[in-house]
Amino acid sequence: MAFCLCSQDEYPLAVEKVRFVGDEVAAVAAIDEATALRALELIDVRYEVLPAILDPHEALVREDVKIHERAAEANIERRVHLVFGDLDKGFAAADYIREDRFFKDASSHAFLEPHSALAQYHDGKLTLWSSTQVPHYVHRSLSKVLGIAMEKVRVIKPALGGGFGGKGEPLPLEFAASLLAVKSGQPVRITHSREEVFLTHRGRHPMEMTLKTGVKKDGTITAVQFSSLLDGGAYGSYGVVTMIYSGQLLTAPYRVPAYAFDSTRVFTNKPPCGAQRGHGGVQPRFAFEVHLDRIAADLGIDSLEIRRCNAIDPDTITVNELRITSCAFKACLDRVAETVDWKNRRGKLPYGKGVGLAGGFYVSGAAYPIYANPMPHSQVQIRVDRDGGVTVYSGASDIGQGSDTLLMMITAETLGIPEQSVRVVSADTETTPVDLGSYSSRVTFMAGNACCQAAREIRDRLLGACAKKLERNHEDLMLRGGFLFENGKPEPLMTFAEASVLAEASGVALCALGSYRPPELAGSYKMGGVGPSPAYSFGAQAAEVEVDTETGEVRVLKIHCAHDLGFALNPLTATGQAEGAVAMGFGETVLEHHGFLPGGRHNGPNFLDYKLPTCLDVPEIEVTLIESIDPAGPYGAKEIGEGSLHPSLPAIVNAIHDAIGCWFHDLPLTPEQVLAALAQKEERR
Amino acid sequence: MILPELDVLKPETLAEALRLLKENPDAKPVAGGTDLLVLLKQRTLDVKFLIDISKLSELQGVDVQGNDLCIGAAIPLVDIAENRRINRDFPALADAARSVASPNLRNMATIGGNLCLAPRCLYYNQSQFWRVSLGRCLKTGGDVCFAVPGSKRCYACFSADCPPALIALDATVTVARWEEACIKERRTLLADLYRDDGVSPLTIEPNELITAIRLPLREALRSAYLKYRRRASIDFPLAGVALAFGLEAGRFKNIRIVLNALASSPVLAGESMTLMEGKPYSEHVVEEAMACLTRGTHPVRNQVGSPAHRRRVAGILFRRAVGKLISE
Repeated sequence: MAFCLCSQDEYPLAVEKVRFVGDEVAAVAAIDEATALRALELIDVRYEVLPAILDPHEALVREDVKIHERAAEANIERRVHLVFGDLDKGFAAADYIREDRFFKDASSHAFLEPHSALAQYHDGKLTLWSSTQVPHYVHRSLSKVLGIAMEKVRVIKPALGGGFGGKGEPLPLEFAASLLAVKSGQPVRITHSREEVFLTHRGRHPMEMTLKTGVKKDGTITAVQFSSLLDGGAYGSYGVVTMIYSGQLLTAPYRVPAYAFDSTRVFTNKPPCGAQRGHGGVQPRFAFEVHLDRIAADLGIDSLEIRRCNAIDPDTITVNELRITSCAFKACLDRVAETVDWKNRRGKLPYGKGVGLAGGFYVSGAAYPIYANPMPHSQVQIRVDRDGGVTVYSGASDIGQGSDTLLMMITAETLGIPEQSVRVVSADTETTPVDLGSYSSRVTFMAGNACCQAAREIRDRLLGACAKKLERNHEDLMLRGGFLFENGKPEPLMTFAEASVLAEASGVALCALGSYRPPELAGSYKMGGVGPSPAYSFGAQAAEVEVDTETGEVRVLKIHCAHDLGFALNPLTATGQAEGAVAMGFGETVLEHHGFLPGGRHNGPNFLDYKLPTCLDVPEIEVTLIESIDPAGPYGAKEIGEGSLHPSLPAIVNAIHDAIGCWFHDLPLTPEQVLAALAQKEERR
Repeated sequence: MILPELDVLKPETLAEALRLLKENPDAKPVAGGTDLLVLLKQRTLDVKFLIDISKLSELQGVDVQGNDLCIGAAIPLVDIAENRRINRDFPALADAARSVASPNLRNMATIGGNLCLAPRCLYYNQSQFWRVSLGRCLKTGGDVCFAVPGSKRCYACFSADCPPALIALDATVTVARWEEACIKERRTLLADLYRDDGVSPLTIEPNELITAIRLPLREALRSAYLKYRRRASIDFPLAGVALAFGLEAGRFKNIRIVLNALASSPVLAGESMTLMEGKPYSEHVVEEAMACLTRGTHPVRNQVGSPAHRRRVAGILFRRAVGKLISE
């Protein structure tokens, strides 16, 4: 049965046709890996060679070759065309119009732990331990595909070595391991090799983009028109969402009064592309920020100024109906301008050295789930033990970003108890309530809000019971540091444990469920459900680069990152998220290339050929956390893990222009491209 | 990827190791294993035994013997890179050792292993699964070359950093084998160890072992090794230049220029050397030498980046190396 969440076009093992080198064909279980490999060698697969389409432009028009029969026109999976505001009027009002084309090639998540799934089938019950970001979606899909009731399927997410979107959907190995466990009655584990991680992919889409922007003489934007062509690879994955995001996420952090976009996703015979950190917005953000710098340069306006003058303010509705609430974008711009010393360095450094900046924004959780349903996106249950210890049950998936720690901190803060007395049980579909998973930067915001709600419920019940018993006003009591206090009095009345015994004895259950579901935010148009979020994070970055004008090598010396994350619940992990995002953005700009040989084979599915930056390659990173206190976030918090990637790419490219006077529209950037551009510039003189 | 089933033999002496090597044609010596174990996992080598030579006392030590500095073949690269004597007298070798792979690999990898590093190709240094799906190439017993379609020879790229530096420093190596119940040794110029053949790049026999490297001690020798690659933290070279010379009355004396990663062996830039020998330093002579520097090389598209660019960068590295050494 087809399983893919969005597109329903994939089978755990290919049926009748394989569509890319890496499409799973057969699964074998054996007592050890060597035996399984020998068994695989005994399987003789005869392939009839079909014509392959590797170029997305060819996919747009080839009617004679259908990678999927369901594509109505050529190999186009989906198309979206949306217009907001009066585009003609917008362009007519412009003093200057500029058009550019950009390309950002594919990249891989490069999480350190490859995908792994371990299945056990016992007494009619299936348990799957999987390296997934989305245990709930896996739970639901396994039940559907294998035809086993959800209560007979248990999905557990153990500690994970990263995800970045690459473990954000049910994957073939999870079904194969489960089915083999059911058939054999033995536990079965499948762990991808690094090569298999590259071959099965689902990383960043190669995206070709065009931009046309009209501005007034002073740089004020009057209209923007965007188009994108996404090379989706062989299956749908999350690609339709990627496609819509690519257009939807260009209406901030700058005011755009009129906007239109036209995006297309095509199938090609390459590994499927899907969601990767900063999903959908990274490529267009690179394009737009470089495009904006070019406009600024054409008009003789400073890059910082053009951004400041167009920057959106808090509490704005964008032209495509995104509801912006908290927003400290200008503060982010000003902060990086200050730390990079913009005033004294931009345009003033010796030839070969430069500084550049860029902005960005991103969703704090998608307003709508992957499968349409009216239920909460996150639920958290909290229970107080009789010794005052507290256990938090949450379906949220800590994939290394630290969500378990955040839930612990939120609970401790709300209940006024030390963090050591809170235990978090998470991501086990048998024991924890549903959470949709770790994607679209939703966990801190949504699971955090659900956790706040549950903890407040417990706190209020406890204080209410104590107030009654102690004959005091509820409002006069407070919990702090593991004790119950009366306001204004330094001596505690009793410990939290004693207070909870008192409350339970008076018939109050110290067990509560909190839940979070975003408000209705969908735009009033078709596909208006992708893009809206209950809150948005904003950020700006400045890059310092040095270009070796003889060899073409680009050295990124330092990246300054300022990110409006609402409120820093955990400044250490938040800073770590921003640093990781910047490192990833840096790699995608100058090193990483997920490429293919003419026949469609991956050109180097390993960490030697795929140039992931090591810790020694990553530039110095200075992160400033900017707090705007979001009205709807838990303690005012929003996201930081994904949005802080967006500005990295264009900030580096804009800095390179400052260094050598050449623009680059194609990423990743190679030393060869740099030299070619320099030679071209020389020729034009 | 998993290792094939292997037996690891641990001889106590060099003599025993050499005897084992002779008696087991399907055995390979292993020291650091940083290159060999990957090749085994990728199944590019078919080996039944590994002979661990890393602890053999005969392969240790860095010391002066007569007019030479003698370096044991099992010395880890980190010790070469940090050795004070080498840094003082043979900086090109220290530069080269420091530029190999990453710190953790340098802790394991040995100088002897680096001399024997197999030339590399994007189409060869891949998993068995990947290679088999593509088909056999010249280096794996087939008759096609994926890097250079139509080619009759293999262009796998020489990728070890220490050999060019050592050749520039006129290194010789001691090669030992087991014959008539005793150790037979021979000395050879390191340069003669290599041939420009991607399939069979080493001139030593399978039963032979490099035991030591000797560098002639010279007064006032200046040397450097510069390397170009994508990630300065870990990658193999895309181009490299080793340079050594003395200055006599302001004129280049015994200048040696060795290019790396532009052929299947290190390449001596003979024309450039002849051009510079005996001449005083000038920008002009360096430009002239640069112009013919890479004439004997033939980089192909079997590494990341374009061959023309790698050649060009070799020239720039050469000029920078001369500039650096002249101003010392």
